Amino acid sequence: MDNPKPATVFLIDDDASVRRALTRLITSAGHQVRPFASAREYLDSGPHGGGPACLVLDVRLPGLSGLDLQRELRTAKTPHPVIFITGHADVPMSVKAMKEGAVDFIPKPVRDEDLLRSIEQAMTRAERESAERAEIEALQDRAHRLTPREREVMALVVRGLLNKQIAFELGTAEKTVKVHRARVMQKMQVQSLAELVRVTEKIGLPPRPAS
Amino acid sequence: MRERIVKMAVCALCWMSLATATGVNAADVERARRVLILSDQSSVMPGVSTVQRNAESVIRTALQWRVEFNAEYLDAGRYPQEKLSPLFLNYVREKYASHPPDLIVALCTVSFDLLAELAKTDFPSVPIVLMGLTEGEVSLEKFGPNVTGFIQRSDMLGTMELILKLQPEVRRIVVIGGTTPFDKAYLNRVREDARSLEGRVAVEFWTDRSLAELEKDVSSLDRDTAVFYTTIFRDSTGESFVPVEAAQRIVDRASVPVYGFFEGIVKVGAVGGSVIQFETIGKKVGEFAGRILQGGSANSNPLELHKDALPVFNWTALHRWGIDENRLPPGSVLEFRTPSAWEKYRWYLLAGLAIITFQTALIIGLFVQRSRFRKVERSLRESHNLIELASGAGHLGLWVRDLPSGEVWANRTLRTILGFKEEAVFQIDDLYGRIHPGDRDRALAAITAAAGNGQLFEFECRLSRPGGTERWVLVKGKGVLDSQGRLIRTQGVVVDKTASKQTELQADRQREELTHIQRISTMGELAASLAHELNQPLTAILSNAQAAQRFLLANPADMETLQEILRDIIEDNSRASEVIRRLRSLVRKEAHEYAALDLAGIVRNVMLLVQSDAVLHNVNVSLLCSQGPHHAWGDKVQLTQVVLNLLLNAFDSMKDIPADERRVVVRIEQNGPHRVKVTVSDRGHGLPGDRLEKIFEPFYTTKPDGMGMGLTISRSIIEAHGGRLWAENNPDGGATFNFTVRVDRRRTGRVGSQPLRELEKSDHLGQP
Repeated sequence: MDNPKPATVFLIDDDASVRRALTRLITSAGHQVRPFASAREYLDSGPHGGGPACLVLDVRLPGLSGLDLQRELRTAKTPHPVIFITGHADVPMSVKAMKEGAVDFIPKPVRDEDLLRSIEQAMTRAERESAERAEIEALQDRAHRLTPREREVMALVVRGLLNKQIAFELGTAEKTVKVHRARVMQKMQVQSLAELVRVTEKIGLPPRPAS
Repeated sequence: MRERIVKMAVCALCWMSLATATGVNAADVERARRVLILSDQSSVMPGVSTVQRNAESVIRTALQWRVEFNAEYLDAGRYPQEKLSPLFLNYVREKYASHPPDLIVALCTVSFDLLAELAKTDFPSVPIVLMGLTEGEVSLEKFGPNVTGFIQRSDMLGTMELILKLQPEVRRIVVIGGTTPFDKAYLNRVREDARSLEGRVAVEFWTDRSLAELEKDVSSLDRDTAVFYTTIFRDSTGESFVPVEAAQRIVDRASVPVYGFFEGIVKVGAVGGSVIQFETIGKKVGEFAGRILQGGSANSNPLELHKDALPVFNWTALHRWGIDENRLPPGSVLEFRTPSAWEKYRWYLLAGLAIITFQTALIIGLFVQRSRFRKVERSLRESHNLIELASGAGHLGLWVRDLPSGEVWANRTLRTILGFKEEAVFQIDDLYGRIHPGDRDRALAAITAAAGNGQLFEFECRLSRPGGTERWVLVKGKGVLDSQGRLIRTQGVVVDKTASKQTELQADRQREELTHIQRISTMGELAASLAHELNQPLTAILSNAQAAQRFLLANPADMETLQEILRDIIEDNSRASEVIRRLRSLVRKEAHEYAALDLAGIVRNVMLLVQSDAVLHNVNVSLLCSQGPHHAWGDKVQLTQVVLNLLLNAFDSMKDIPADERRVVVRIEQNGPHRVKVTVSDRGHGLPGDRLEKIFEPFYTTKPDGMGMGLTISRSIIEAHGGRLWAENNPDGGATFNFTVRVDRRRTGRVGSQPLRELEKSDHLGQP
C-alpha cells in the first residue's frame, strides 16, 4: 500500500473489544481508523469531509442504528461509502442497506480479506466520487459566473433551439443571442454544444427552463 | 354390811309371810275344780252335747286350774220318769256324796223339779248354773239360793215368718211334733204364735200320727204347703226318737220344704228357720260357770230370759226347692253351701292364672327378645356388610387396634392393600412391618405422638409388600382414650394412593418437562440476541488474530501490540464462555433444588442474558433494590426463568412505542417479614382490565411465534415457591408484574422498608 495520503476509516461498533480488534486489523492494512462506540458519537464529532474516507458500521447499535445513520449521512454534502458489519445478517436488512448504497454487507465474525477488500473498494469509490465532486464544483463555479440572461440563453441552447428561435423566445434580436451564446461557451470553457450539454447535465441545470 | 343383812332379813321375812298367806290358796290351786253337769236329756242329743262341749271349753279357758267334769243324764225325753227318777237321784247322790262338786251345771228341759231337789237337798252349798231350755215358767226357789243362769226360748213365730218370706206362695203350714210333754210344750208355743198369722196362712198340726205315717203324708204335699218340724221325742205310737233323726226322715220324704227351729234340723236337710244356737247357749253357760268358779256370786236372781235366735238355712235345700237366696233376711247364715269352683278353688285358680299369665309374658318376652336379637344380629351383619361394601368401593382400608387385648381388626380392603390373606390373624407389629423401612420410623413417630393425646394423625408412606411390590398409602387415624386418659384404642383409615401418587409424580415430571420446554423456547426467542452475544467476542478474537498475523509480517514486529492482542483474545474467549455458561444454566434440565438465593443476583444474571436483546429493542433496563441482601428460598433455574419471562414480555410490550421511552424497571423489596417482592414495570400500553388474569391462562399469547405458556408456567413456579404472581397496570402507563417468594428463614435479618437504591443498570448507552 503505497498510498501517500492514508484514507480514513470511521469505525462504529458498540462492542469495545470488537472495536479494538477491528481497529488493529484495519490499521494493519495501512488505513487510518477513527473508532466510535455509537452513531451519535460519530455525528457529534463531525463534519467529516475532506479526504478519502469510508465508514465501517455495525448494523445493530444502541440508539441510532447503523441503517439510520446511513440514511442520515446520504443527505450530507459529502457522503462516505458505508461498509456494514453485522452479527445477525438477514436478507431484508442487507437488501435495504445495499439499496441505500452500501459498499458491502459483511457478517461477523469478519474475515480480514473481505473487510479490507471492501475498504479498498470503498476508498476507490470515495476517491472517484471525490474527483467527480471536485469537477462539478468547478463547473458550478463557472455557471455561477454567468449573468441571468446568459443562463437563460444557455438553458435554451442545451435544449437544441436555434439562435433565431431563442431570440423569438426571449424577445430579442438574433444578434444579441449570438453574443450571449459566445459568452456562455467562453465562461463555461466548452468548445462545442455537445460539451455544454454534458456539463449542464453534470451540474444539474435543468435541460429546459421551467415553463 | 349391816344394812345388807337387814335387807336380806326383811326380804326373807316378806317371802315367808307371803308363803304362809298363799299356803291355803296354793293348796286350793292344786285342787281340781269339780263340775257336775246334770242334764234331763241324753248326751246322744246333738243339742245337749253341743251345749256341754262349748260350756266345758269356755270354762277350761277361763280357769287357770284344772277342772274335772262329770256329767249325768236323766234322758227324760225318751224314757218314762216314774221309776227312773228316784234311781237317778240316788245314783247321783251316792256317787258324789264323798266327792261333792264345786259347781253344778243344770241343763233342764222338762225335769226342773227333780234337778232342783237334788241340788237343794244333796248339795245345798254348791252353786248352780241353770240353763232352762223351755217354753214354760221356772221357779227358782226350788233350787235354793245359790243358783244363777238363764232360760232359753224358741222362736216359733220367727220361723213361720221366714217360711212366708221365703215362700210367699205357701198357704198352709203343716206343723209336725211329738207326743212327749216336751214336744207338746213346743207345739203349744207354735199354736200360740200361729195366732198372729191367722188369715195369712193356714197352720195345721199333725200331732197324732206315727212317724211312718208322717213320712208318707209329707211325701205328697202340694207346693203351697210347707212343713214346720218341731220335735219328736216320741210319736203317736209311743216310739221314741232323737228328734234330729226323726227330722231326718221327714225331710228325706217330704215333697215340700221342711223348716224347724233348732239347729240340728238344718244339718239334716231342712230348709232352715229361726233357730236357737246350742253353741251360743253352751258358751253362755260356760261364762256363768267360769264366773262362779272364780269366786263370783251364784245368787243373781232372777234368771235371765234369752230369746235370741238366728236365721240359718241349708244352701243345698234352698237350691233343691228353688228358693231365691235374695229373699233371705239380712244376717242369715247359709250352711252347706257348695262353693262354686271359683269360690272353692279361687286361690288355686288365681295362682294358676298368675302362673299362666307369667309364663305367657315370659314366652312373649323371650320371643320378642329373640326377635330383637335376631334383628340386632341382622342389622349388625348388614352394617358389617355395608362397611365392607363401602370401604371396598371406596378402597378404604380400616383398622382398629385394641390395646388392652392386643387384638387388631382389619377389613378386607386393608388386608388386600397390605397383602395379607383374608383370614390371616396378625398383630400390630405385622402391620407395622409392612411399612417401608425408609418410612417406618417417621410413621410410628407420627402415630405415637398423636395417638397418645387422642389426637388425629395423618401421613403418607410407602408399603413394602411380600413380593417386593411397593405401594403409596395415606394413613389417617386417631387414638381413643379412656376416662383416665390412657390410650386404649387406635383406629383409622388407609387409602391406597399408589395410582394417584404415580399420576402425581408423572404430572410433576410433565410439569417439569413443560417448564424446561418453555425455558428452551424462551432461549429460542433470545437466539438472535444470544448469537450476537456470542458473535461479538468471536468477531473480536478473529479480527485480533488476523491483525496479529499482519503485525507479525511487519518488520520489526510490534511486540507490545501483539501482547495486547493476545490479552484481548483471552478475555474475549472467557466472555464467550460466560455467555455459553449462562445459556447452559438456563437450558439444563435438572431436578429442581431449593436453596437460599440472592434475588438481586438472579435478576442481574437475567439482565446480562437479555442485554443484547435489550440493545436490539432499544430498551433500557434498570434494577432498583431496597437494602438487602434479599435471600429468597427457591430454585435458581426456575426463578431465573420467571424473571427472564417477565423481562422479555416487558421488552415485547414496548415494540410500538418510541425507542427513547422503552424502559423497564425491576424492583426488589421486602414484602412483610416473610416475603420478598420482585416487580417488573414496563412503559408499554398496559393491559386491558379483562386481560390482567387472562394472560396467565395457558396458550394465551400476543406473540406470533409465542407458545403462550410463559406466564402460565411462571405462575405455577411462583406458587410452588409459596408465592404469588400477578399483573397490574401502572397509574402512569405500562404494566407491572409482581411476584413474591418466601425469604430464606435461616437468614431472616432485620430488613426495614429502606428506600430503593439503584443497584444495577443495563443501559446500552452506558457500555464502556
